[in-house]
Amino acid sequence: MDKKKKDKGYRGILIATVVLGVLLLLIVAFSIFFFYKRIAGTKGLLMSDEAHEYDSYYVLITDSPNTDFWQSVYQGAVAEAEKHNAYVELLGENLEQSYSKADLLNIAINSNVDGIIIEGDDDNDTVKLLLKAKEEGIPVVTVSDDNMESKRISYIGVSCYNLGKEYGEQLVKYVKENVPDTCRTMVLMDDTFTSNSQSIILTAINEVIEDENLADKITLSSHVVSSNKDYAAEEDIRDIFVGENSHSGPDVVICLSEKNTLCVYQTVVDYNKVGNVEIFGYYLSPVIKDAIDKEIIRSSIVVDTDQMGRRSIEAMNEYKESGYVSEIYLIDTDLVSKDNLDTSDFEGGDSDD
Amino acid sequence: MIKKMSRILANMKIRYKLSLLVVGTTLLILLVNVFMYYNLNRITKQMDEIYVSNVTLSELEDSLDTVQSSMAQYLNTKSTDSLNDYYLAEQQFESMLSEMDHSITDNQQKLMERNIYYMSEKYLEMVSDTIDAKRGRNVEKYKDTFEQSGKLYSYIKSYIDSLNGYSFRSNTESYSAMSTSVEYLEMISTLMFAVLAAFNIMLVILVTKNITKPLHELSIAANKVSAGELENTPEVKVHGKDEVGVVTVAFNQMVSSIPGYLTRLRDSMEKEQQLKEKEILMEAHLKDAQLKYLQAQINPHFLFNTLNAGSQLAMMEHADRTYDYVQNVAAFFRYNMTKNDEVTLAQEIELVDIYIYILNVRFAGDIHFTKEIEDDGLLEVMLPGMILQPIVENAVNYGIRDIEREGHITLSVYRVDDNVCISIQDNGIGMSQELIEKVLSGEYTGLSEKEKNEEKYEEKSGNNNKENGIGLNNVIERLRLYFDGKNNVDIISSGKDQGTEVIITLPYKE
Repeated sequence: MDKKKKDKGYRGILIATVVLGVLLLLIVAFSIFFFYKRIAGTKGLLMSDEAHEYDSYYVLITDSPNTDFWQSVYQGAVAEAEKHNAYVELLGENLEQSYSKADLLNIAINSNVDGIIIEGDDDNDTVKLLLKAKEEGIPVVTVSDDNMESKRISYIGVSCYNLGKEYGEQLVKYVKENVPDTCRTMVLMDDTFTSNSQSIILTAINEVIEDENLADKITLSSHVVSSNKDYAAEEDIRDIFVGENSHSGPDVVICLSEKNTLCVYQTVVDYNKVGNVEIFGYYLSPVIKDAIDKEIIRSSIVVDTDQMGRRSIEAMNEYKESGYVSEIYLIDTDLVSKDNLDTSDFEGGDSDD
Repeated sequence: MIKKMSRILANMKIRYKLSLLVVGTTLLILLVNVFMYYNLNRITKQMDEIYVSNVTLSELEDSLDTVQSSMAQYLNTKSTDSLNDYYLAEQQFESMLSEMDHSITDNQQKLMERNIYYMSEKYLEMVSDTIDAKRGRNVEKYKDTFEQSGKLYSYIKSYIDSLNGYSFRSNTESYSAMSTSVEYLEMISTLMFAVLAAFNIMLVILVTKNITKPLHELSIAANKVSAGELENTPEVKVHGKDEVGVVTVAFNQMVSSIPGYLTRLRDSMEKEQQLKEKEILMEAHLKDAQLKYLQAQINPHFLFNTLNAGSQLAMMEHADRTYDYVQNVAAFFRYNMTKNDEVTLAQEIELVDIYIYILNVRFAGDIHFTKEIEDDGLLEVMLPGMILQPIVENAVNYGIRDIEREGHITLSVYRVDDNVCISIQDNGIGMSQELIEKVLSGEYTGLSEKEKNEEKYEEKSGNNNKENGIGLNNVIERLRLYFDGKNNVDIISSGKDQGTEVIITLPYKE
């Protein structure tokens, strides 16, 4: 009996020893595995060795890179570039200092990029730099807005005439249905638009008004909102509604950029002008979508930004391969109002929150 | 597996077991330490590496600053020193640039590095153009290029700063990941050491048990044996072939062989005891015989001397027959006095001759004594003293004394096989078979004298004739002792008045 007990004790110790030994081995194995993983993980953080290497490097330069519009364009470009083993960078995004378009262009040229995709404007410096880029053999594609003098290889964007017509039709439709007497209409131009584009849009709107014989009913004015200075746009727009001339403020505001749409929307809400001011917007960000739903913004023209991004890269690639590319590529637009808000699925419009 | 392991362990020598234990545990601790140290070292190294990129970037920026300032210095002063400074700075900056990666990747930092690389190349070109223009006094050109290079300089600086900040952020992430690794390492190492300690303790207990368990069992068994429980001690289990195992095997053998030795010892002691007893018994019988004899012969020395004096007197008186008689009587007593232990058959027969002579003188030649000796060599046989005379005395006293006819006693010595037979035959009253058996078994001495007489076929005539010698019983007993328990005496009697024959058979050694 006693012996049996002793034998059991011995066995117990033997088993405990074996179990502890196995445990020890497991801990060692685990820690080897764990540290290997940890160190591999931190290595990834340090410098990604697995970073994919690309053949070409394009940059996208715009004044307002943080808007949904340009982010969407950028995403489209990135997706397309991936197919051609190219990398697109939204230049300036990673820099601590914010640079003007000209500076960014300068950086791009001096960094030996393989192509520049730029939001066109008719600034002299820009033109100069774009010409310099051409000199250096860097192909330039303008998006959203054109610059004819810049010798860019291609323009990807909406036709300003079509855009103006679309707005004109909306305006006329609205006036016919809702306005018995006169209607003051203000077209808010963005200064990223070239003056050429601005006048084309205005002309197109005017054309529609005249065709409908509403010229005496609708007084059309335009205002260029500065975008160069920080926060200038918001101030500018606020002045329209609450400034000295606020009593002669517009009944209808046509916005030609996402930023302007948002600013007008915010001002109207802030100064309790909802219902007094009708907004025709541009682009469809989540906020704009929400505003359309609330009928604060009547309608918005949506540009297929994703397509815009894709097309710009396609143009680059085509040029790289063949040396030629069509000079203009027009992007489809769509009109979004409360009626088709839920049913429509606009690419890039509500992609990112 | 476990059984196999423990068997191997059990068969190992204690010395190896202990060495294995010490070496094993030490090695294990050493290994774990080395392993932990290695891991810690790796992490520390990586921690060192973390901010290397920041350091390099700062150095690059410093170098860029030096280029810019030395160029500005040269433009201002056009001094050779500043030109030299510029060249040195340019060289340094270039060499640093050459180490930079300028591939196109989706890694932001690398991409920034690439842009810095190309912008710096342009910048250096431009700076060198500026210097050349300054040397060529082309004021307009160097103003223009200086301006441009200044712009580039600011771009590069901005890039470097951004990259520095960017990598600092990601490095900090790495750093915090690393420090959690270190925390984990601490935890794991604590756990590992705890388990290791427990494992080592278990191992030590295991091995010590392995060594001491058989020893313990052996000591218990040894205690039992020393307490005398030889039969109750079970065999100690042999656990292995180590030193203890060898001792255990030897111990078991010892325990199992001890009872055998003990029995043998007891046997030999018993035998010795028996021998001693026999010796004592024999001596006692002899003493008994002598005592009886002495009691019978009151002061034989006196008698002896008296007889000697009588024989001399008879010689002086020329009475030859008297002289002879007295001489014989004296010889008879002398024999009794001296020949005790071992005598030859010849001496014994001589005593019988003397005895018969004396009796014939006493009883006027009534006894006819005849000797028939086959071979004189037979007379050399040794036998205890006082054997034949009592038998002859018996034959005279009980056999032929009271018969009417002529009494004859015949003593024959002859050889049968390896034995010498001594036969004393009388023609007296004979003995019944029961009496013979009683005499031979020794019961007869226990009977009273009266009973003895009743046993005889014929009542002795009136006078109570007391026995003058030692009994037949004594003779038989002494012969038996002398010849190791062999019965040498036989009595033959055919019946009443048919006489009695006593035959003594002695082994004959030539």
